[in-house]
Parts: sequence; C-alpha cells; structure tokens
Amino acid sequence: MHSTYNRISTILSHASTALMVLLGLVAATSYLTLPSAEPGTVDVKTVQVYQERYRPNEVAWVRFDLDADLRSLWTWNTKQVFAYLVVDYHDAPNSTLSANEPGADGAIVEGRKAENSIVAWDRIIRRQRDGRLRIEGGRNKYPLKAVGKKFFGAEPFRARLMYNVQPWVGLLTYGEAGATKNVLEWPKAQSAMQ
Amino acid sequence: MDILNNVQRSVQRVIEGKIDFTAQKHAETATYAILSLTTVLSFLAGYIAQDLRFSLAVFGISLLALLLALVPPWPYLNAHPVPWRAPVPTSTSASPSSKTD
Repeated sequence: MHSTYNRISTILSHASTALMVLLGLVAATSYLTLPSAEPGTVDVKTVQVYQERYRPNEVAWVRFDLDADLRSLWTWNTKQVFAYLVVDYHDAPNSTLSANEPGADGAIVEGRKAENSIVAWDRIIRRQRDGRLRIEGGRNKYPLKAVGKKFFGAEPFRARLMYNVQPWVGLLTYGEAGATKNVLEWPKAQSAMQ
Repeated sequence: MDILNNVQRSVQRVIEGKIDFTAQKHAETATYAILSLTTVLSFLAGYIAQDLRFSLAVFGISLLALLLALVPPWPYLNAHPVPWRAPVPTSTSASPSSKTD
C-alpha cells in the first residue's frame, strides 16, 4: 500500500473477489427462492398429418389454445423466459426405428418404444408484462416431423407447455406450466397438396 | 530550469503517491473491511429493492468512493511522518559541497 499503483492493484483485486462473492450470493438466493408458474391450460384443437411426396417422414400440424400466466417467474434475477410447447409421444413398437432389431440369438426382441419430445412452438419473453400467454388457434411454428417416419399407429400424444427461466446470474432452470388434460390420437396421414 | 524541475518533481511525487507507514496499514485494513461490508450491503439492498442493477450500482459506487479515498496521497494519509533524528553537527558538515542539494 506504499504507492498509488500498489493501492489501485490491491483494491481492485480484492474488489473482483468481492464481486464474485456478491454474484454467487445472488445466484444462490435466486436458486433457493425459485418461483414457479401456476399451471395454465393447453388445448390441442386439431391435428393434421401429411405425407409429402418423396419425403420419408410424415409431418403433423396442430392447432392449439394456450392460456398461461408466466409473470410470476420474474424476480430480480430474471433476464428472460423461454416458453415452449412440447409434443410427447411414444413410437409404435414396430416402427421403422431400430427398436425392433434382431437380438444376438436372432430372435426378434420385443421393441422398446422410443420416446419422442418435439418442440412445436416457442416464444422468448423478455418482459414481465409480456408473460401473460393467451393464444387461440395457434399453429406450430415448426413442422412436427415423425421421428419414426409415421405418426399413425404411434401412441397417443400429449402437449406440455414448458418454460426455461434464464437468469442474469446463476443456473438455468426448467419447469412445466400446463399440459393437455387428455391424450390425443394421431390421425391417418393425408397426402399433402403439392 | 529550476521551475521545470520543481514541477516535474511534484508531479512525480503525486503520481508515485507515497504515504506513511501508519496510513499504509490502515489503508489495507480499510480496503478489506469496506469491500466485505459493501458486498453484504449491496446484496441486501438489491434483494430488498428486488433490482439487480441497484445492487451492482451500490457496489460500484462504493468501490469508486474507496478508490477516491485511498489512492491519491491525500494529506490525511501522510499525517504520521517518521520522525528523523536531528542531524549531528560535525566538522565536515560545514563544508560547502554538502550544502548543495
């Protein structure tokens, strides 16, 4: 501490440690006092499955209603919230995926049903006042491609509204803010209009 | 040239910023104490205000204040100069060569 340079160096180096401790405290408290969203409602109105010519995988389009309030997720350490709608289903046991390959002794092994989660729609919510989601007749942003080539025959699906809280400092956290009340059946594919 | 030399010397003295031994000890203790206290206070302030930016502002302003208080060689940091022993008069000290500074 005898010279100017020495004092600047000592103060700033201790300050950087103190800043890290401060940010660690912020991250720890916001992780321990993590808010959760009240479950909203998710309704899938219609499902249409198309088989496009020369494309191996079926593609599904859904229309859905969303009503959820994510405003409670904002705290002093919330930067933005990523909300996304996930469609979950199990593949049919004899789908074209490799679940049904012959075992070591040549016998057909009872296939495990591949579990799929496809993101159908998402939204980045930057401000708390935009956290009230009310969507009627929304359409999926991304086409739902059948992982096992076909939806028909796969197990019924459900849709879940998930969120991902992105803090200023700290850990990413995930949560669920609603799901469809009952499972829905996949319809047979129509051939797509060219 | 004499004026220039004087200016250069005083500028150098301010930049180098030597402070006395007591102040050095106190400055170090103050740095650790104030920065630790600042961390806790800025966390509490931000938590109560529910505003992370406010928390960081409290921390930054405290840091700037600490730098301003301790870095320049203020007169209060030189309030305890080391007492030097009075010069011992000898016969050689009266020679003219040692008088030129």
